[in-house]
Amino acid sequence: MQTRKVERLTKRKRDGTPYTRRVEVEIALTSLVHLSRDEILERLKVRDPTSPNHVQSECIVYLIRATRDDNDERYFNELYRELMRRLASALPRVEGERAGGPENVDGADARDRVRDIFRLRLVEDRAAPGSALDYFEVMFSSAVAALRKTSMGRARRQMARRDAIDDEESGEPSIAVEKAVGSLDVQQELLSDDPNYRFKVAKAIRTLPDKQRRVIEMLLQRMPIDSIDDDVLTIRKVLGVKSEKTVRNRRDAAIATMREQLGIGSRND
Amino acid sequence: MTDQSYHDAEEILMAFAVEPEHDLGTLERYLRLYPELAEDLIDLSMELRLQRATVDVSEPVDEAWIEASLADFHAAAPARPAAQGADPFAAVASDELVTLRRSLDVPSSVIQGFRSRTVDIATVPAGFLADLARGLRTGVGELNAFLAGPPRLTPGLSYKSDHAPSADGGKVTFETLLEQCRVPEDRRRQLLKPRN
Repeated sequence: MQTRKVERLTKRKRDGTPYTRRVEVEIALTSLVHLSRDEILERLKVRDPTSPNHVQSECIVYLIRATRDDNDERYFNELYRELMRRLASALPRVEGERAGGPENVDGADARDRVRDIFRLRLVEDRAAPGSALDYFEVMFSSAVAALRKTSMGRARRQMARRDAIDDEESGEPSIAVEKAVGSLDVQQELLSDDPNYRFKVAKAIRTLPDKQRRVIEMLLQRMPIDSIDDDVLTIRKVLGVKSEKTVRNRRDAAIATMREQLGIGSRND
Repeated sequence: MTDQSYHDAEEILMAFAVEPEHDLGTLERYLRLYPELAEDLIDLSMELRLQRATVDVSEPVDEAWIEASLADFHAAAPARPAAQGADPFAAVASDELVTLRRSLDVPSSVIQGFRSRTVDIATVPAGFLADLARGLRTGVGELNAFLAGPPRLTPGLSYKSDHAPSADGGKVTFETLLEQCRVPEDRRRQLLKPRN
């Protein structure tokens, strides 16, 4: 039998070099393209991601794009359904979103938007092959997260004008916050052995106000809160706030909320 | 924000998302290059972190949500030829057909009998059909759907005849096809025998 070639990606990075798939995805694709459609559809039923027969989401994107000149609707439909299941899994659960509030968009709407944008991209890719879906062959779940961010950004900007100017520039944290902060190592909490607990921590983080959550992320990245060296990128500078106190206040408020949500008592309990 | 800047922002966030590492070095690089997207980049950085932390938490999938999207896709996708009759031979190179013929141990005229749909599918043992489908890298269902169509002129063949060939001769049984193709009797019997 002739060797079937796996098409390369055409999207290029900022420096002009082309994107490539991860090695394990390339290896999987090289064997997948030699299977019959029935065999591929059988493989799609393997749900355990640790199984050697599990088809990575990136491969499903490749296979569905490869059906461009095809008229086998049954095969296409099954690939599409499985891809959408993967897309749904890569999106945070609806209850993980904070309901209401000017900074948040309803989670179900966000999921629908991502699903619909992805579908449109696929329609475009079939009508005129492009590189917009290449990202999904590099790292599917990350690309879904980026698409979600973009889709939420559009809705959010429309609401941004209603966002009140915050008054965190000065002042001390409230006594309640001070008492509740204690020590909470978010990094450690996210490394818990218990997947359900990790899910709970993730939910608590997602429901934080945006400004507080961003401080937590930068702290987790070990970015300094402030520095006298102008060349050092600090949380204060990224946020564009005058005082490092603002950063600390946001951090403390976030930790207090998380401790409360996770049922972790304050050190004074 | 214009459509173009939406597009640019999405490209930047996509590029960030598929970076191999999401450490401080990567985040800083993007923050310095695209300070106007600082909030989105930090949010995405956190979201990728949470995704990694909860990758093993399974959740029930809403199949109706998926079916709605599939229906929308078909409503929006450009019209395609009808699924019936998809030619499984179309994507197979001639040297692959030779290999297939050898692996099935039949003359090439038998393969042509399938390709031209002159064989009556109901008379073909399931085991042979499955081998043929596998060799064509298609499913038995797809092959059946193709073979159910009326006989046709085999594409790509030239005919040495004074008369234009026609494909209206009707279908023949698998056994007749094997006889016409002068498959030795022993091999014919093997091919016609149902497998366990």
